[in-house]
Amino acid sequence: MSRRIAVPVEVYRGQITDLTRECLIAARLVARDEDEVVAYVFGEIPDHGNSALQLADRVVTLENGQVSQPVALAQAKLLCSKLDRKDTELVLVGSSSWGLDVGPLVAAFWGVPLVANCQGLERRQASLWATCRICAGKLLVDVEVGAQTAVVLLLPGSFLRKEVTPRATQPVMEKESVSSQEWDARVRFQRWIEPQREDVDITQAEILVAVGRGIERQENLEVAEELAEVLGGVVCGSRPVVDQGWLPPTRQVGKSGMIVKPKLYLAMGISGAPEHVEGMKDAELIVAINRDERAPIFHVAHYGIVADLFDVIPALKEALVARRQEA
Amino acid sequence: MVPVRPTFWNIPGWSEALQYVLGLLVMGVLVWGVLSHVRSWQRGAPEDGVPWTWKILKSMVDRLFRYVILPERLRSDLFALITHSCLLWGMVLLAIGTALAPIDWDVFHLIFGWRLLAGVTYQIFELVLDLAGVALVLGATLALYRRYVWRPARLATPPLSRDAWQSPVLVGLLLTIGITGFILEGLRIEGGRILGQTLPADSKVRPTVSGEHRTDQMAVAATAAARWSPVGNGVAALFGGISLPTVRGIHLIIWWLHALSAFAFLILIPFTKGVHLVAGLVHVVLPRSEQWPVASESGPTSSKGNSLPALTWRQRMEITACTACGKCQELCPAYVSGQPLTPKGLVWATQGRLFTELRWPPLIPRTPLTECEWLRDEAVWSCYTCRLCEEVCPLLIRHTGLVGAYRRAFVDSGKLADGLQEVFINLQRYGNSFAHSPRKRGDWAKTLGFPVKNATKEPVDYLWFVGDYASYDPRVQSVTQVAARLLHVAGVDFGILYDKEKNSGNDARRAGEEGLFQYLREENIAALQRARFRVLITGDPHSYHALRNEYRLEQAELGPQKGSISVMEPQLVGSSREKGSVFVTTSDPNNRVASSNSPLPVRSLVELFWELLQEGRLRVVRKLERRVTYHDPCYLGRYNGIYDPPRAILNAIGCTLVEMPRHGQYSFCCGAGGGRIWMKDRPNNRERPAENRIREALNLPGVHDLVVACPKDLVMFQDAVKSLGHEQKLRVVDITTLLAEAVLAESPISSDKPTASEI
Amino acid sequence: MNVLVVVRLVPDLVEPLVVTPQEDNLDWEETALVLNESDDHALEEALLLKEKYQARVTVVAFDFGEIDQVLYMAAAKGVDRIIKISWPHREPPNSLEIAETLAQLVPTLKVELVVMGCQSPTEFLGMAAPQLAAALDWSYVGVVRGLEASEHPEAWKAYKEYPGAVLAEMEVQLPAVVGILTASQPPRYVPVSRIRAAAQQTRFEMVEGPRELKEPSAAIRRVYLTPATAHATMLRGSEEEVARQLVEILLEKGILK
Repeated sequence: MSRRIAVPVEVYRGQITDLTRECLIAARLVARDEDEVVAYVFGEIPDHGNSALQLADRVVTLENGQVSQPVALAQAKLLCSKLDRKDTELVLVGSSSWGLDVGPLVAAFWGVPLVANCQGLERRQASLWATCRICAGKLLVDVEVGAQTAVVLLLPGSFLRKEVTPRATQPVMEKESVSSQEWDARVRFQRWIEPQREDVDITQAEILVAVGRGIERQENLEVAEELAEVLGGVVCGSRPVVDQGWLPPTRQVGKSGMIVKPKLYLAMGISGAPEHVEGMKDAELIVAINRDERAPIFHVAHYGIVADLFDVIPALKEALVARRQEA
Repeated sequence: MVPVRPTFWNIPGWSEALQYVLGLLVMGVLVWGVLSHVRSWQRGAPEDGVPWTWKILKSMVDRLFRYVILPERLRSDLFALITHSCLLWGMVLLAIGTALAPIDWDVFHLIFGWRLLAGVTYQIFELVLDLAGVALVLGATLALYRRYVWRPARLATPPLSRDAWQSPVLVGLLLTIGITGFILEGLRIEGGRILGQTLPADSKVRPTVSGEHRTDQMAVAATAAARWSPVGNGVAALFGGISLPTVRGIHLIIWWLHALSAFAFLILIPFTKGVHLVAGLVHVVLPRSEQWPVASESGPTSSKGNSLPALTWRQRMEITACTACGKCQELCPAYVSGQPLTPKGLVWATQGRLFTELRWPPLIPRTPLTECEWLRDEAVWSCYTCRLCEEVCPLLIRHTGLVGAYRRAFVDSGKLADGLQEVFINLQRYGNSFAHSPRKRGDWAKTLGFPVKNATKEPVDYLWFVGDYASYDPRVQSVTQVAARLLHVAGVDFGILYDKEKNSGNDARRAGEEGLFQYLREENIAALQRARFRVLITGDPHSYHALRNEYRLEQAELGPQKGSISVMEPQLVGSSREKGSVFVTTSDPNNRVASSNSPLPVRSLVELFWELLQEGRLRVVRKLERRVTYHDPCYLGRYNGIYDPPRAILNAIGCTLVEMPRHGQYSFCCGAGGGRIWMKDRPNNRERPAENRIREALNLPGVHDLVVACPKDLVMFQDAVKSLGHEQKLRVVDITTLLAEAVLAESPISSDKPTASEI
Repeated sequence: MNVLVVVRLVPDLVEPLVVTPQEDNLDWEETALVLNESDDHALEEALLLKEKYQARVTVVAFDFGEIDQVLYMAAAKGVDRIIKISWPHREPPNSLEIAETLAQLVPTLKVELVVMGCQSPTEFLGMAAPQLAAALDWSYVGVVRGLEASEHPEAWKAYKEYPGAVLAEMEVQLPAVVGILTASQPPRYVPVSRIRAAAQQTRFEMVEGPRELKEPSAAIRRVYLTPATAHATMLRGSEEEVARQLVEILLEKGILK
C-alpha cells in the first residue's frame, strides 16, 4: 500500500532550514519505493536553499494570506486539514523551536503517537523503529512505532551526512490555496526581535573558540579570532586569560564566568580545571587541543588533539577555507 | 593659711548658680542620651549568655586591664597608645578632679566645715591635675596632628561623613578644656598674687566674711601651693603686670569658656562617637559568648523605614561603640585588594543607622548619604570572614557577625551575590557545592589500595569528616588520599561517612543562608549519630570550626562513646530516596537533654598528625632540608588558635620555616572564606588576596614552598601562582603532602609539583 | 487573571541513571528526581505575572516522589493555591498521562492560562504542554522566554525563542497554554528557613488522578544507557591530517554548513 511521508518545511530567515533537509533525507531513507515523500511549504518557496526540496516526490505549497507567518498552531491545524490521516504514515518534523510546536500539535489534533527526541529512524519489516535520545543524551530508547500514523520529531544532526540516492525525476509541484477561515488566528505573529549585538553574548553563540593559558600572549589571541571568524564563532576564554585582561569578563567561561552550551566548543590550550569544565561540559561537541596528553580536558572532550595549538590552528583554518571554496 | 582649693574664686553668685543649672541640664541630657542607647540595645535579639559566676567577675577585671587600662590591642601602634592613654587618663583624672571640687566645696566644706583639698592633699591634687591637663592637651594635640597633618589612610573620611565633624569637634573641645583650664589656673594664681599684696596676711580662713572676700583669701593662700601646679604657675607668669580687674574680667570669660566646653563635650558624648566612653567600656568589660551572633534566621529588623538587619543586643552595643579608628580597614584583605568593602565604613555606617533609629530631636545630624555607600550589597558580599578585623579591633567589635546579619537579610529578600544561588541549591540538593552525586563523595578512597571503613556501618576510633573540597576537588583529592595513607601507616583506626556526610554548612552560614546551615547541621548530626566513633577529626578548617564550635554536638548527645555505644542502629546505605529532605527536621538539639558526657573531642588533622609524630606512630625517615613558609588558615588560626602544631610538624620533618611578615594571628586570607570561593570575582579588583599573598611568599629569599593546611588554600593559591605565572618559583603544597614525603619517603603525588600545564 | 503552573519531577541527571535489568524502563526506585528545569522557569514566570499583573497563581503537581519539597518551595515563593493529583503508580506520569489528566482538571479550575515547561528531559512519547493545549482546544505557543500583557485584554504577548537569540513576539489569545523554556529572569532563590516555615503552614488540595493507566502509544522496545565514552577520541597525525579529520567531524555533526 502506498503511503505518504509528510515533511512540513520550515523557512527561517528566508531559507529552508538544514533541519528540514535532514527530515527530507530521513524521509527518503525510510520511504519504500511505493511511498511518497511530500514536502509542505507554507507560503512561497524561497529563492535560496531550496535544493533540499529535490528530495521530495511532491512539493505542496499552501498559499494565501498569513500562511507564511511562523504560527505553529495555525499551521498545524492547516496541515491536519490538508492531509489525509489515513494516507499518511509519518509526519517528520525537526526539533526546532518551530517544529517543537508544530509536531506535537499535529499529533494531538490527530490523536496519533508523537515520537520526540528521535535521533535514528529505520524500517524493520513492516514497522518503523525510532531511537530516542533523552535525559541530556544519557539515555537511549528504542521505540517501535508500528504501522500506525505517527509524528516524529527529529533531533538535529541525526541525518545530515547520510547518503541518499538522488531522485531521477523532479518533484511534482502543487499549489493549494488556503482560505482565511482555515487559518487559526488565536495566536498572532507580531514581529521579530533581533538580539542586541553591542556585547557578544557567548551563551548564545553556537560555536565557541575558547582559549586558555596556552595562548601565552595577548597578541596570540588574533590567531583564535581568525579561526573563530572562519568558523562563524566567537572567542571566549578561561579565567587566566580574562584575568590578564586579554578578554572582557563577559567572555569568560566557567564557574565564575558564563555557563555555555554551544554546538561546538573548541578548547585550545585549556587544561580543564573543574571550574572551567563546569561552564562548558554541556556543549554538544567538545574538541580539545592541548600539548599535555594528560590534561583533564580530554576527559570531557569528545575529540582531542595533542599538539601545539599554534600548529593546529593555521592548518585547521586552511582546511576550513578550502572546504568552503569547495562548497 | 593652709592652701585650699580656691573653688569659685572670682565667680559671681549668678554664674555659680547658672553653672549648676546648666550642669544639671547637661547631666540630664547625657543620661537621657545614654538611656536611649540602652533602650536601643534592649530592642536587639537575645544572644547566648555567659553564666554569672565569680570567675566572670574576675574575667571582667582582667578585661578591664587588657582592653581599657593597658589596651593590648593598641600596643602595635605606639602613637595611638600614647594618644589614647593621654586623652583617656587626662580626661578621667580631670573629671575626677572636677567632680571632687564640688564635693569638696558643697559636701565637706558647706556641711562638715572641713575641706579635703587642703594642705598636702591639695598640693598633690594640684600636681596630678596639672599633669592630667598636660596629658589631655598633649593627647588632643597628637590626635589632631595625626588626623590632619600625618593623615594615615585608615583615618580618612569623606567630607560629609559624621566622623568628619565629630572628631575635630570632640578633640577640639578637649583641647579647649585643657588649655582654658591652664589659663584659668594661671589667672587665679596671678590674681591670688596681686590680692596677696593688698589683703592682710591672715593665718586663718574666716568663714564669716563674705563669699567674695573668702575665696579671695583662699586664692591668696593657694598661691603658696602654686609651685605644685607647674603649668598653671608658668601660665600665671604670662599675665604678670596685668591689673587685678583685667585678670578678674578675663578669668570670668575663660571660666565660662571652660565650663561651656566641658558641658558641650559631655552633651556630645551620647550623640557622637564619644559614646564609646560608655558603650565601649561596658562592651569591652562584659564577657560574651564566642558563638556566631544570629539575631534571626532571616528577616530584617522590625523598625520601619530603616534598613538595619536584625541584630542581637550585644551587636547593637558593640556597633554603638565604634569610633571609626580604622584599624580593621588597614589590614582587611577585601579592602587591600580594592573591593568595595571597608569594615570600618560598614560598622560606622551601621552605627549611623542605629542612631537614626533612635529618633533623636532633629537638631542632631542624620546619617549622611555618603555613609550609605559603605553598606552597598557588593561591600557586604566582599567580606571573606577572615576575622582579621576582629583580631585588631580595640573595641572587640565583631565585624563578621555584622556582615552575617546583613547577608541574612539579603538572602531573605532573595538578593544573592552572583554564583551563590546555584551553590545554595546544590547544597540543599546534593549536600555539596560541586553539584556532584553524594554517592561519589567517597570515591577518592577507592584507589588507595586499602579499604576505608564506613563509620555508619562499623565502629571506628576516629571519624574523619572529610569536607567538600577534600572529597570532590581533584586537586585536593590527592592530598586527601595522602592523609588517609598516613593515618593508615600510623595504624589509626578511622572511617568516613561516605555519602552520609554533607557540607558542614560553615560557609553557607557565613554567606547568610542560616536555614541551610541549620539543615546541613541536622543532616550531619543525624549521620554522626548513626556512626560509632570516639573522636571526630577533620582536615578542613571550615568544617572544623563548624563541628567544634557551632554544631553543639554535646546537645545532640554526641559525647565520646566508649565501646559500642550507638545512638542509632546502623542502617543500610544507598537508596536514593533517603536523600535528605530539607523539611523534615531529623533532630532538634534544642529539645534534647544535654548529655552529661564531656564534650566530644573534635580534632584537626594537623593536631592529630603532630600527636602521631610525637608518639612515634609516624616516623620521619627523610629530613626534607627545605626552606618553606607557612600560611595560617583563618579558620584554623584566628578562629581556633591552632598555630603551633603545623609549625612543629614542619620543624620535625626538617623544614626551615621562614615566616611571612603577615603570619599567625595576622595571617592574610587566601580569599576563599565566607562563601567567597563560590561567588564571582568582580573584574575590577586590584588583585586577588591570594595573589597578594603569593607575592608576599615570593619575597622570602630561598623559599620555594608555600605550605598550607586547608583544602581551599591549596585551590586558591595554586590558582594564584598560575595566574601570576610563577609555577617555577613557588610550589603550593599541603602540609600533609610534605609530611608524607618525610614519613613515607616517597613523593606520593606528582601533581603538586610545579607544572607548566596550561589552564 | 488566573494562572496555573504545572510542575513535574524528572530524573536528576547529576546522579547516575539506572536502567532495569529487563531494559524496559528507568529503575525509578534508584532514580533521584528533581524539579524539571523549564517548569521551574514556568513557575518563576507565573510569579512575575503575579507581581506585575496581580495574577492569581495555582500550582498543580502529581503526587510522586518528593514532590512535596517542590510544592513547599513554591509555597515559600508565594503561590496562592497548591493542588496535588494523586498518583499511586510505580513511575511518574508520562507526557500523555499528564496532558490527559490535566485536560480533565483544568476546566474545573477557572484558569485562563496554563504555563509549564515546554519540554522535559524524559519526553520521547508525547509532549505534555502542546498536547494539553490541543486536548483543551486552547491556544498554544511553546519555547517561550517571557510573557507580557498585550493591548488586547483577552490576549498575552509571548516571546518565542528562535536560533541566534532572535525572539518572535506572538500575541496569544486566552485561554492558552504556554510552554516556557526560560523565564524573563532566572528563578528566584528562597531561603531554606522560608521553605521550612512553608512546610509547617501549607496545606495541599488533593485531586484524584487516574487509577488505571493506558498502554503507551507506541511500543517501547529497549531502554539503555548511551554507550560511555570515557575519554576523548584522539585525532592523530600531522597538523594537516588532524585538521582535515576535524573538518570532517564538524561536517558530520552538522556544525559546518
